[in-house]
Amino acid sequence: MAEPTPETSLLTTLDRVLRGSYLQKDNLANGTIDVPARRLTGLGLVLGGLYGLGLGTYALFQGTDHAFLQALASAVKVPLLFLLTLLVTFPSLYVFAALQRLPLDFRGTLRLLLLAILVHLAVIASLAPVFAFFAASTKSYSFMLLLNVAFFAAGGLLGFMVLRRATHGMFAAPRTPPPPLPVPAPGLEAGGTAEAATPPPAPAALPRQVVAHGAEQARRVLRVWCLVYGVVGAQMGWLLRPFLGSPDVPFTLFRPREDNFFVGVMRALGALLGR
Amino acid sequence: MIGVAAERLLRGEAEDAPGRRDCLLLGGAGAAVVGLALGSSSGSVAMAMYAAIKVPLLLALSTALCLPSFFVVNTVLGLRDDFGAACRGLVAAQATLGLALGALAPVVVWLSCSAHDPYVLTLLDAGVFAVATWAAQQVLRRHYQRLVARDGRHRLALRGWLLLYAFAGIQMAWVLRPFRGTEGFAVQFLRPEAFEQNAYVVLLDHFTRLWR
Repeated sequence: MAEPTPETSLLTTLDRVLRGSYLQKDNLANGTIDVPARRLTGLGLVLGGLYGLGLGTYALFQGTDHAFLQALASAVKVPLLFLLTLLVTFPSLYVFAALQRLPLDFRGTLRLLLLAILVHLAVIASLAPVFAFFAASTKSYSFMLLLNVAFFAAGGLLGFMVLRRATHGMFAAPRTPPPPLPVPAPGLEAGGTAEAATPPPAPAALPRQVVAHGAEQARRVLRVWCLVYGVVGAQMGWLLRPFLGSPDVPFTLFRPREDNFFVGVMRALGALLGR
Repeated sequence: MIGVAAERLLRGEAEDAPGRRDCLLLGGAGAAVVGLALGSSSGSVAMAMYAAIKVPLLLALSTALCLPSFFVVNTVLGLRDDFGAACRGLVAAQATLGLALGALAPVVVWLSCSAHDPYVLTLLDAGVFAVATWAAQQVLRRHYQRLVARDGRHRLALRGWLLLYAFAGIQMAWVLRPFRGTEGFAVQFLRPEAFEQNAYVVLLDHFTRLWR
């Protein structure tokens, strides 16, 4: 696989990520995503930090205990949330993808997931001004908590759309079949290899049944990815809380472990409805 | 000159829409006029001036808040090449919103003369804004017709914009109130509690009280 070409600036990379330039049909057909994972991670840290600062504005505007520390902690914790979730889920996500024969190697799968995460982060970072405006004009902690969940969900939806487009594109694209497994074919002379005996055929359009089967494979990969990543991500967010900093609770970097994300959301909804 | 621009904005197709400067002028002037009409109902010149500043501010700030995410969503959906055309549609729609509000200013004055209950007036003002928004939608639809025909994903981007714009716009209007001025309250640009209440929380509170 060719080494990823270096980009000139982070903004150019971000622009290409958002435009889907790294997930063009040609690249997907070859199973390559030509962008360094380190660059994507760097961009993710910046975008996550921006949204984290947006979250931190609630503490600043409400004048909560150690508001600046809370804002700083949020700016660190948002990228950390995505990184840790990826760290915990990536091995299983890769295994599920390989089982469904997703035509991406280990690094390719990592880059694809990083691209989707970047889209997610870019969307929520672009919503940071809206969040900051509501933070400036809202006292209700429950409302801001639910607004944050809604913004995360909106970003996740667009990230999911990118994943969906990419996986469907990969399974539907005509591609060069993978080289045969390195088992010597019977009758081969000593020193000969399977590749030498059977040169890979040129890419050709896939029959309709194969495309339909590919779409089903893509759906399976996405279902498992969303379930695993979504549940782990939601709970990771719960473990890393507080991101906003409740005005009634003194500043802590992390809260004690209790309940779970879903109970927390239901409780916030109940508080908002006055129950 | 400005009359011709208004005619082109209201009657023309997307390609006939006036330029950005004309749109800003039309929308800003219309919004300022309705602000004057709303503020003058209190009988205070200062309130009328405040409202004439605040209505255009309401439209401009709501748009500015939502524009970054509109840009990102358009890019992610693969609609970046049409972003210029989409923005022209938004500018034309905002200009129409301001213009329609300006045209409804006499109705606002009439409502102020015929109703005195501040709650009823607030509801009627919301109705005036809803009618002007409907007018803006007509122009936005004209602009988006061709875009949606070219790529169906424009529909999704537009829905996202409308949802976020309405969501942020309602809170912005809540923060920037009063537009009319209320008897017993001092004339102020913003209420002292402007940044302490959330429109949706207040609404939910009202609904839950009704429910109990």
